[in-house]
Amino acid sequence: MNRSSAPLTAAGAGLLLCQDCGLLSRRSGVKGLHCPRCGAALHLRKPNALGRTWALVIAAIILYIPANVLPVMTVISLGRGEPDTILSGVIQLLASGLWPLAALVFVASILVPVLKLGVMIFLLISVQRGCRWRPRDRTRLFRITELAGRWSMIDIFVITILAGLVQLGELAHIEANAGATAFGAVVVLTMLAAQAFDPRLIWDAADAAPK
Amino acid sequence: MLEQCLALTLTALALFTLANLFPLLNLRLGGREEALTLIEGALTFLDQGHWGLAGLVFFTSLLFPLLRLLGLAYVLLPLWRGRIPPRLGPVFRWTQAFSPWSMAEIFLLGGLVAAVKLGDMAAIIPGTAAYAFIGMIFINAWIGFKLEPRMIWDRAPMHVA
Repeated sequence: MNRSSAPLTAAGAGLLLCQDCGLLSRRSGVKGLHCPRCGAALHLRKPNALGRTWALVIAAIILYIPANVLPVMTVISLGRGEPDTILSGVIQLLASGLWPLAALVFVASILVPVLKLGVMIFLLISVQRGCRWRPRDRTRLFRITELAGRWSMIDIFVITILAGLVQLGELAHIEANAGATAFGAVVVLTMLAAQAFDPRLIWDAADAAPK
Repeated sequence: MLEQCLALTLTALALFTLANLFPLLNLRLGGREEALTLIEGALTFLDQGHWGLAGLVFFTSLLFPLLRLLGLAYVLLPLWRGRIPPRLGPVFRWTQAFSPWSMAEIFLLGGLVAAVKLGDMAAIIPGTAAYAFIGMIFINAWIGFKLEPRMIWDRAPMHVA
């Protein structure tokens, strides 16, 4: 940090940047470490970012198992029930020839959660090991992960509308199952994990003088 | 910027009201017809005992989009008339924080997938609310494009000890 070639940072200049409204405050002049403009808590880095992100990622991995193994919904038609998991839902769409929808649901419900968890674990380990490899690309990876995560909710909304619309009693009705709750929890937990992570940690390691 | 964003916000609120009053989708099968409103979607999960899912759907498809628009109206209306609303900073901060959790556009895509899935077993007819909902999503995106948060932040007063 003390190298003359090091970039000017707020932290190095004794300033604090508000992550919510972008106001710079002097670290000595801030009352109770809250942003004087928007009231957000001010931190040099998000508190215990690595520990909190790990906790949320691990909770998401655990719930990822029931989310995929348990059925998310059951179509009950003329007394006969047919439980569907997330994967069997995609396969059904494929079998009906609706491959663009199958691709959409596959990407949103299966690919995005797995990639998101993989990326978060990679970022956590790389930051913890003080990795200096391609900080710019890793930051970009984090931004994409943060933006894409919410789209996994699409399957939950599909089930909402199917269950709400198909209520024809004996003829046909659709029930949500426990897998859907687990899947919804995975989406929320991975979104919270991305919010708990502090991408500035990537740059702290990259800017540190070589050992 | 202020006037345009305010007009868009009020339009989005009007469309959101319509989207909640009328059925989103109608299903016609063997002489029977079922209609689904936005709120019924969340309530179905409650009926089936999935209160977690019901809460998640209620918050992400209804409450957070509504709070985001109400927050914007609270901030933009007084500013447009040249006044500073009380607690402008915290209110605008919360309004911004709701954005990733306000998932109206994802709900719409989910509705599309559900409608296509049901397409070969029943007739699915989009209701009035579906059009209002689509309109609201476009206007939401338009607000996101027009709104310059720093211009709001510049008007927020400082509370320094």
